[in-house]
Amino acid sequence: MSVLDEVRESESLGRDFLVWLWFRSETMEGPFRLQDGEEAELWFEGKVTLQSEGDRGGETIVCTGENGRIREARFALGEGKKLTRARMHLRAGDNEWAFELDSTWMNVHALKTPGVFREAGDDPDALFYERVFLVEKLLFLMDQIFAQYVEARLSPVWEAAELPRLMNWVRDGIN
Amino acid sequence: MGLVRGSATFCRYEVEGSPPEDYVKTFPNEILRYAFHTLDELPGEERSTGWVNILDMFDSEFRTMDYFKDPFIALSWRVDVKRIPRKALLQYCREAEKEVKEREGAEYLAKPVRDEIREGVRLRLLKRAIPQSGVYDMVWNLQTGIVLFGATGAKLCDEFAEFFRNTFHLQPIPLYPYALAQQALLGQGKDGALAEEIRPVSLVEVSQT
Repeated sequence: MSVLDEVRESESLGRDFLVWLWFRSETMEGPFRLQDGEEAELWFEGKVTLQSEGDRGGETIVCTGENGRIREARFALGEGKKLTRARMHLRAGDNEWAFELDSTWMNVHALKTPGVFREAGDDPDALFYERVFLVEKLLFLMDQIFAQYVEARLSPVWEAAELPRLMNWVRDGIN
Repeated sequence: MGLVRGSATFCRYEVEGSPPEDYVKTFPNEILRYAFHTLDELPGEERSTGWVNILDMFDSEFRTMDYFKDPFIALSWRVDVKRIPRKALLQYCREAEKEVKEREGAEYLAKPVRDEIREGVRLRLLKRAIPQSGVYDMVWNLQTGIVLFGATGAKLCDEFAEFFRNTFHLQPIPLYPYALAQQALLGQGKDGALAEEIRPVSLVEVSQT
């Protein structure tokens, strides 16, 4: 199977991961616990994009800004719209990243890394290394969170507890 | 786009295989071979692609080889395009055809003649056109085999992947959720194929309860 076919076949994986991230970010009691005792806090903020497929082609809903609009997006989720992209923040230690994640490829869009402090005469290579370190660090953290999602999906706890909680959360968005 | 500065948008690839042991000797030749050339250097071409310095899009000579930033190779992929507005081409062609007809006293010009006129007009207009430049950063971590590429458009990414393969003779495979799930499972000491067992979640029934 070609990569594109695999991407199409498995696109629900990225979409459901985004929904789970949103659900976890709104309901979890603590940060994600990652390797080496590291912790990361994640929250949705700014923009959520959903899509539906109908007889007349796809419809895209973009909710931006305030909580009310984001609540509308949760409502759309329960109506069967698919979450395709979301803007989120991730904080680990003193560092905070803001970015959009798409569901199809899990590409990163409009990433703002923590500030790279620059002074006149700074070695450009030092700036390069610092910036790339911050980008790779974000990916390292997000890959760990995604690995937790994969683990949760394959665990018996998913059907027994996690999925019902997620459904309740979506239902709360509708009511 | 801005992997090393500003707001960053990017996709990820995993490179299949490893660079040759003597890559420090061989890659500079390959990078120079696929270095960017301006459209002024390529008369008649409407598009030019190639490697440039990640910190200076006007440097494609790489005299200091500072794309080697251990353990990374960092370059930008520059794409210049000259576009001739279709209607402008049509208008200039009509004028040129009219001129030829009057000069030769002809009422009709055969297709090969019209094609020749069109090509002459296209080349003339191309010289006047100013190219649009796109610059997309590429950072390849040689330790992990992961390439970050500063764009997400499918067509551009496909073209980049082919350009990368031509330059380095290694295939970059795009990373996407299923591949990442397989990696995650392997990292947990499990079978990567288990990723196939993750079924889509249906939230629709939630609204119907």
